[in-house]
Amino acid sequence: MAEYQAMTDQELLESLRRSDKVAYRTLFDRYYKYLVVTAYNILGDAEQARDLAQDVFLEVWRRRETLQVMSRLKPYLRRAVVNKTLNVIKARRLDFNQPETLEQEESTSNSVQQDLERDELQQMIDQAIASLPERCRLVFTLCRLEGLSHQEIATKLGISTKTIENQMTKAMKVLRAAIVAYRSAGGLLLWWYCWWLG
Amino acid sequence: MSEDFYINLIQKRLSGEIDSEETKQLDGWLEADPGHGLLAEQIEQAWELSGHSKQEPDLDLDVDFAQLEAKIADDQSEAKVVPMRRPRYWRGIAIAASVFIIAVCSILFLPRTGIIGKAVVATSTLDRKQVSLADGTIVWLNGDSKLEYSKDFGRENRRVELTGEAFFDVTQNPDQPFEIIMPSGTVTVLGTSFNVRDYANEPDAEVQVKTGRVKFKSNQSEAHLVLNPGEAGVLNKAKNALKMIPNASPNNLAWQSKVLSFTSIPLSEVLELVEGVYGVEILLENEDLADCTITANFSEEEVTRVLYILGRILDMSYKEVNPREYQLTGGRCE
Repeated sequence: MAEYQAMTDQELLESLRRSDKVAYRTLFDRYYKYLVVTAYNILGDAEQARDLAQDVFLEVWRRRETLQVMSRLKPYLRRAVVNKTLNVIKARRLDFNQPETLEQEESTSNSVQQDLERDELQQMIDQAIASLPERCRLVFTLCRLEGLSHQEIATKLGISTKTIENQMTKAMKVLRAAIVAYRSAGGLLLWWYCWWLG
Repeated sequence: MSEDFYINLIQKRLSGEIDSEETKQLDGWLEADPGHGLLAEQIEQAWELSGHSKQEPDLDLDVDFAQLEAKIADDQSEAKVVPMRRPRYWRGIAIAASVFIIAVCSILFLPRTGIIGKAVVATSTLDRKQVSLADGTIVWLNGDSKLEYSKDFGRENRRVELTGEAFFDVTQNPDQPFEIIMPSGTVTVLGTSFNVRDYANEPDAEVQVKTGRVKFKSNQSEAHLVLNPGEAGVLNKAKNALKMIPNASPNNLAWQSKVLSFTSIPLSEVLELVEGVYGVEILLENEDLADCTITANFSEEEVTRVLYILGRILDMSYKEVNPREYQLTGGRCE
């Protein structure tokens, strides 16, 4: 449906008001993946990310006759899916103040080794983020990738900004360790880092 | 101060959350030792790289769209009612008063058949109504909602039925609990004020407490929550799952209280909430401002005052383009 693909978001929403399924599918094709990636990078669970992104689109369908998006649709949808991930995190009832230990994953060093030929340092950082303990990673991704303020994360999750700062400090120390290990001459130290990371 | 303290400050500077006092502290520390500068540089590099760290799961759009369609089909069979508009407009005290008179008249003048009938108060999409019950309890009914109660309400029990959304200020009576029966859940209280919401076209039913204690029970099982002020209970109807939200946003009650509080909330969300609370349309001329964050509190202000203050924050001006329709022009983020 080439003519649909050429339509703006607002035009598609206009058609959607008349329950136009092709317009709906066009919006889905345009933004669904973006929403899944957004939720996945926060939660680290692809199934749950797909479920939440579908729920956002389900609500778009439910509210199709009255939906008013005052500005751009993309940030509006992103905001909706981020709010859903925040609710999921909140429902997990995590105690963000409890100490967590870094997980031990045997496979990590091999995959790091293989990926070194690509973008070595970026890979190190990606691995380091993936290796962060759950609560630390959640806070970090909400702040860094979603750009939420400390205050906002604290309010939405019902925890203190001090806790957010502690988790962010912890995350930055782990990421910095990746940089230090890489810079101080691959070899021994890199292996030490991989071993330390798990 | 420990190294962690300064790592925290470096992180706050990178995410734009540092204040001027902290900036001074950090700069002093960085100058004190070249090693500190190196550490800051490493943190900055880690921060920079971590911003590009997006992982993408494998997706098949056709499969996922089929799943979505299944959800829509489920949803439509569940909600038999025609999709409703979210409530928008206040009609004011006049309607509330007239509804009360009608309710009273219907009780007084309906034929007495021996069977005790029901009083029904309903609102259309654009209405809000206020109902006073025989025991002194006051009910604010939001749009698209219906409140039913027996005409001998208060004699043997204090029981009402509700679909939609209402705020209750219940008169204290320890001998006779007040019960609200909704399609998916039941609320039992002694004397308190709280908001309940159970629209047929929404997946969750919600109860949020302002004062007192409230028991919220699912109609499908014995599952229940006891809620205190500031807490909300959310019942997912499909899964019959109850969960408690400890710090529920007071903004959920704003349709009744007109008390709004925002902490670093994007303007687009702020405007959406203001529209719902005041029953107005707000057009944002400069779309780039949608993601600008707002921190502000409003307590029972006129809508024009709210728009004026938002204008002051983001350097915008407002004008009324039509009755109940405002436009915000100009502006820039901090």
